[in-house]
Amino acid sequence: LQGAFIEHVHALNSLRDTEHIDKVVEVRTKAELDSIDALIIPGGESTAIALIAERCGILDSLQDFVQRKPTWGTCAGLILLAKNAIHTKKGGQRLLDALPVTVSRNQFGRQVDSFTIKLDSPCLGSESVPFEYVFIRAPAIVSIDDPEVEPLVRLPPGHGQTEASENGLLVAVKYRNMLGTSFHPELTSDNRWHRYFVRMALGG
Amino acid sequence: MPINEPETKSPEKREEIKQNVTKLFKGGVIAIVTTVNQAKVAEDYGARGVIVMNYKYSMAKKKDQTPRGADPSVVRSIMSAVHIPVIGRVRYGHIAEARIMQACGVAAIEESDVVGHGNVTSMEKKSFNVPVICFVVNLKEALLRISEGASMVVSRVGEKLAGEGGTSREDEPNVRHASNIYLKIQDEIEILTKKNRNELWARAQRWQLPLELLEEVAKLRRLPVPFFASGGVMLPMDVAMLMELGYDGVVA
Repeated sequence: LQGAFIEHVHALNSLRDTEHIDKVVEVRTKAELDSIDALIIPGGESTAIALIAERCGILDSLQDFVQRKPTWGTCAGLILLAKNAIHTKKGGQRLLDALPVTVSRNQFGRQVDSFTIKLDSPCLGSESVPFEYVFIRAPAIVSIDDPEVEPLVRLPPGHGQTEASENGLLVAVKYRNMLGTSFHPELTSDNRWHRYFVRMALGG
Repeated sequence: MPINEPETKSPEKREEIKQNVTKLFKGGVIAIVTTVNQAKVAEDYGARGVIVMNYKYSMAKKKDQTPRGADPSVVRSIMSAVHIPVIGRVRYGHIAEARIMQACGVAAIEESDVVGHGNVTSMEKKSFNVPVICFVVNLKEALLRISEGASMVVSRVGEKLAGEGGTSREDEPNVRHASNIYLKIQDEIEILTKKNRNELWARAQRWQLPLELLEEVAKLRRLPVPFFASGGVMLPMDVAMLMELGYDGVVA
C-alpha cells in the first residue's frame, strides 16, 4: 500500500531460481490477499499503512491473515504486527495485535540517527559473511511478551538505548507464523533474509 | 567474534542512507503544513510526512512579510507533536536555512522556489546528512539536481525559471501541469534508452552531467530517485490519476 514494496518484490524475484516461489503479488485488495500464501508488510509509515488498509477495507482481512499464514513485517510492518507499541502518536495507533512483543517506534531517533551495521547472523545459516543491517528511523523490540517468541538478532549493547541494559536491543524475532524485523533487508542487495522468510513460509 | 562496529558514515554510505530514507516515502502523500494543528491532522489522516512552510512567496508579498524558509521554532514544535517525518522547506539555494533545518533534526530538506529564492544557484547537497528534495520540470533539471545530491525530486509547476519566487499556480489548481511534466520526462527518458554509449556520452557532455547517471537512467527507464507530483494536487481522484501515470507519490 505504501513504502518500499517494490524493493521487496525485487528481492523475492531474485530468489525465484533457487526457491519454490510461484508468484510474487503486490497486495492492495482483499482478493489479492486471499490469493497468497505468505505476506510481507513493508517498511514505510505504520500509521499511513494502517489507515490506507482500513480505507481500502482490507484491515480486518489483514488482521485475520496474520494470525494464520506466514507473515513478515519489516520496520513499519513490525510495528503494525505488534500487540503493543510505545512512543506512538498521542491517542495511539491501530495495530494488528498479533505479535506478542512491545515495539518502540523511532527507537533510534530521527532520520539523522539512521545507520547501517554489519553483524554476524547465525540464524541465516553458518555462512561467515556478515549481513549488512539498514536502520532507517527504525523501531526496536523492547520486550518479549510471550515465552514462545524467539529472539533472532540483537544489536550490540550501546546502540540506541535510552535505558542502560546489558543486552543489546532486539531487532528481529520469530513467533509461530510471524517474522518481525526492524531493519530493511530489501534496501540492500543481500537476499538472505528473504530466503529465510521464504523457507520459513514453505517449511511451516 | 561478531563484527559489531557501526559503519562510520563515509560519504557513500551517507548518500545511500539518504536515498533509502526517501525510498520509504513512496506511495505516500506528503502534506504541506504551516502550523502544528495542520501537522496533527495530516498525521491522523495518514500522511506519510509533512513539509513545513512559512508562506509562499506570493502570499508573503501580500502580507508584507519577508519571504523565508520554515521557522525553526515551528518546525521543532511540529517535530514534538507528530511521529511522521517532518521536512523543512527552505528557499532555493539557501544554504544557511538548510543548515538550520538540518540542525533542527528534520527528516529531510526541501529546496523550493515557491517560498522564494535565497541564491542564484541551487545548493550543494552532498555535504548535508539529511536528504534534500528538489523541484524539477524536465529531465535535464532533474538530473542536474540529482548529480548535486538531491535524494528525491518533485514536479515544479509554473512557467517561471527555477529561482524566481511564486511559481505555484494558486489561481489554477489544475493537475494537468503535473501530468504534463511526468509525461514529458518519461518521453525524454525513452529517448535516452534508445541511445548507444557514444550518443549518451555526447548528451552527457552537452548537459555537463556524469555519463554514469545517464546510463543509470537509461537502464532503469526511470529517474533513479523517487519522483513525486506537486502543483495543484487537491482531490483524491487527482492523486489516483497521478499515481496511475507513474508518479511515486504526491505532495499536497
